[in-house]
Amino acid sequence: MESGYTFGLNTTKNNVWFLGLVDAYLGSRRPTAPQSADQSLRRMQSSLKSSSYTEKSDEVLITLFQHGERDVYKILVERYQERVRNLIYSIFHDSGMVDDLAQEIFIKAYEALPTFRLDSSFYTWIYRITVNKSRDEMRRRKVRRFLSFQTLIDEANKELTAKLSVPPEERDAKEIVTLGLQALPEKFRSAIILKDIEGLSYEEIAEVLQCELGTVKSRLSRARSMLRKILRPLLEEK
Amino acid sequence: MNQLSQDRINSLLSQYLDGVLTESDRRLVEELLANDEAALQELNQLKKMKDLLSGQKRIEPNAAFWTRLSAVLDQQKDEESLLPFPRRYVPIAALAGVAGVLLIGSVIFQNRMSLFHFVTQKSQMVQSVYEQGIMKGSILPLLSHIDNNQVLQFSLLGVLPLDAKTQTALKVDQNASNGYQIKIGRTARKKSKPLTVKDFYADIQATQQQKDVIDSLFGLARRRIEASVLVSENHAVAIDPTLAQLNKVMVSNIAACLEPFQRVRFSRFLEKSDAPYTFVSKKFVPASPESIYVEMNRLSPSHRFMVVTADTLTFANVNAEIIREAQRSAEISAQIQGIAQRNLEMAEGLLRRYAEREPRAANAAQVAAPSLEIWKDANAVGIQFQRDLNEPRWEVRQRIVVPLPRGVRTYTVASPSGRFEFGFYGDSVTPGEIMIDSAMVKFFKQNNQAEYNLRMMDSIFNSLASRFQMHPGAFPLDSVLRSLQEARQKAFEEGRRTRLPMQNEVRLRKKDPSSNDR
Repeated sequence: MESGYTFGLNTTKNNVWFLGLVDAYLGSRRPTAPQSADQSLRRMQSSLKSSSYTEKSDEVLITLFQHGERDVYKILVERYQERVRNLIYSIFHDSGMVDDLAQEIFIKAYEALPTFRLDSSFYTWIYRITVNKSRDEMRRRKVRRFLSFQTLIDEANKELTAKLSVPPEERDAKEIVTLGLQALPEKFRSAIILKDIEGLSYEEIAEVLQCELGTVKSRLSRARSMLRKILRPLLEEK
Repeated sequence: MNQLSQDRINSLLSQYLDGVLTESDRRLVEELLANDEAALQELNQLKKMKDLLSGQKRIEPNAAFWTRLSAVLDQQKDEESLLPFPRRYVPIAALAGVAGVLLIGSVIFQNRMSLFHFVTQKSQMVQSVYEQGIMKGSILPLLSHIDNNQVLQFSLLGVLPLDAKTQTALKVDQNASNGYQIKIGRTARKKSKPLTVKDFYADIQATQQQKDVIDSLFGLARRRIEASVLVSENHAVAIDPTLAQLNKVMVSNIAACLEPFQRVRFSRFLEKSDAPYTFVSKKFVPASPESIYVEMNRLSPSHRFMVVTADTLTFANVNAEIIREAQRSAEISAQIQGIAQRNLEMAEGLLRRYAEREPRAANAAQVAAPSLEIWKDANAVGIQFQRDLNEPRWEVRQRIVVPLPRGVRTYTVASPSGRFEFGFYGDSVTPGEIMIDSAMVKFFKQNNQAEYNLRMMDSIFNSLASRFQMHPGAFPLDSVLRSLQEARQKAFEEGRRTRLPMQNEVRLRKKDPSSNDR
């Protein structure tokens, strides 16, 4: 393990984490590119260290990251990637774009993490980035397709009305709820998704949406009223 | 209880459901529920809704998410050391030896007689050409006869050599934080070795496909240069101030066509060539197609030129039709060797003459913009103007302006998965002009990244469609999208091996055999 390996053109530190795995897989050593023994030793150490970091708290990992241990980012990503992906999915219900947007979000977080102050938790922070990026994406989609938001809502409503008009036993309740959510304006949609799907507390939602607690309460209440109206036929079933 | 508004009831019930009410409010709600059937029903519905929401479908976990993300992060790191965007101007001493002299030519009808005399003296050749009727009555582009090597030189160095001996040149310069200068004059010393496109390609190790794209950029720049400096039969010179930015735009566009390692080479090439621009920005962030289209400033159909005659300096709108006409003349004049040189001398004389006079007294009717200034010294004549002059239409973004003749024009672009053809109409508002941004170039360049490109194409075409009437036969969007779909499938099947072969090879080996890549 004392000699290093190269990966094509890329010898950045980020690859460190799987050096060991590659070594185990290959069972033999690859010739090295110009790379000092020191360097490779450090990479090895770092690789070993990072594997023991998996149990550490977010705060510890972030501190390490801010002190140059960029490899720990992998642990943070793996910890939160599914939550972020699901949040995006809940907002857009478009599985085709989830990974792209999630990727953008984690890149943004990677760039911003060095200056992240630990006065909020990592996951409310990453949620905040997610919500903001999603807003951008919505705006972009709006521009790109030359549809107004209202049109999108109307489209969703049309589909929804069609769905609601079929007999209850043939309905897929989840799908209807999905469509109902899509019909809500963004700020109400985010609030209800964060609360009822992601299970955040009021305080956390306020942090994510960067608004007052009172605003969270009123948005949530309005979101629920709106959604209840939309889903009434479904909710009134016996 | 009845005095509670419905909004208040909704709010209380919502918070009751979440268990966040204060003790007094909670009692209030329980009292309400005991007495109000409707409120109870609402609460039940809210509960049911909450249950439905918490049981919402979740997306399938993606085991390959990190693999993909880390590849992007790695790539970004690579690029950070690579510097792509020319944003800051670096003045160069090496070019100080170029004596400039500017000239501008044009389109306005004035002072014909007073100048005729001068021009006759200055340029027998021009006169004879006119007299032979070849270009009588024409507006001539001053800078016709240029080839790709010269365009390269102009793009990278801001100097356009105008004759074989490279003794006369047009030079654009940004010599203050917000000012531009266009000069025409003789180079004090000959450049040791002129840049050639061939050397350039060899140096940056361009692929055939990149060569195609960059060649087309050169072609566009050539047309652009031709259309930017015009000289008229009536002895005026018109110059499009945006010409001073063209070299930056070109450097930026070329960089956008390159892979990271090639950008490093490009950057070195720039240094080696004593280019005035260097890459400074640490990150390469391609602008989104949407933002490009939102920001994009098309060449206006009648854009503003600086027009200089022997005794006036002013602005004039030059109709795009005239520019095209001039370009057509240029095709004819291309056969007449040396004419550019002669025109240049004429223009230089014109400018000198202007600079020697008191501009304000010259023609009270013509209002010279105060931000325009013509200066001269022993060897050169230049025109100096502010950056905000004419609301510069060329941002240094990744953007290519494509001037097209009116009518249908089709483009065929080769890509690894086939050839695509695009057609556009010029319309009355934007006669024959479309914008192709580097996103599109990028698409052609790496359409194996089809997943990304599908979205990109979609947005580009939507933007284009709104601006231009598509020629129905020329633009088979469906088939393009189908090809993309296939390419996407293929790219997935190949496990993205095409992009970073070594890395992926390693990653593929490392990966848990049971996990599926998406």
